[in-house]
Amino acid sequence: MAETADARGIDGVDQSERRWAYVVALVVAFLFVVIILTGVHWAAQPPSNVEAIDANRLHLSGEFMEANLGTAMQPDGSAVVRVLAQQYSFVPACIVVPAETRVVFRATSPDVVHGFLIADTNVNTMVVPGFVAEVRTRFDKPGEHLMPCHEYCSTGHEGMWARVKVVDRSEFQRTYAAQPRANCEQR
Amino acid sequence: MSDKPERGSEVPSHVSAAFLPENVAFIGSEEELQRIASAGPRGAMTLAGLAVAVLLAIWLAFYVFVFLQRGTIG
Repeated sequence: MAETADARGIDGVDQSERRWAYVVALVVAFLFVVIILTGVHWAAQPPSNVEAIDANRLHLSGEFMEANLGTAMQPDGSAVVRVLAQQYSFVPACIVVPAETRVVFRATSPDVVHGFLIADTNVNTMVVPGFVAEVRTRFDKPGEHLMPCHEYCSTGHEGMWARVKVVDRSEFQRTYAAQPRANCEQR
Repeated sequence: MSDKPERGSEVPSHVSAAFLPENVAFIGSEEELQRIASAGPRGAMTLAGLAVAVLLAIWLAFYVFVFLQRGTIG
């Protein structure tokens, strides 16, 4: 078959292949722009907190001792939730947070790697012993979310889950503000 | 004794259909072939373009209606 010279460029690359390469480059550029805009303008970034903690002494003193676990309101109006992920439960097992409030989750593990995921939200991180995982988010409306461990952590893994209860700000003030470290386990 | 037929037995050697000109050769004149080939692979481009457009549309739909709806993290 004769060479179709009019369909080829000077370097022998087919014109249609060149056009297709431009299309693919445009698609890749579009995806990059969306990702960069999301990260910079919308401030959505993967949780990357690197903060070491002694996993052997969590229960004895410091931030993650039992009396300190749960939701603590801060002077600036935000909420800090300290959670312990351990084989095979989260403490507290029922987390309560106010809606329309900046919420900072701080979690760690005394034993093995666990997963921290709040269903129907973008909250998703690993909880690694020896480190504090931190995720910042905001819940727009009241509701209840399942919070399963999503890193296989041994034979009881499937039973390791908690609930996150998002309540109206005024209800949180009325019902939970009296507790220094709020949770909804007893209610 | 093995069931596998041995080379040179009564089993005819297989010839792919792609080797037979009546299956794959262009039926027409050389000029007609030139005209079609010089127009470029329009069908393939349309198919590939459609496939990428559908993929991108699904990605965008998930991004806007699932990911963004689930709130910010940082």
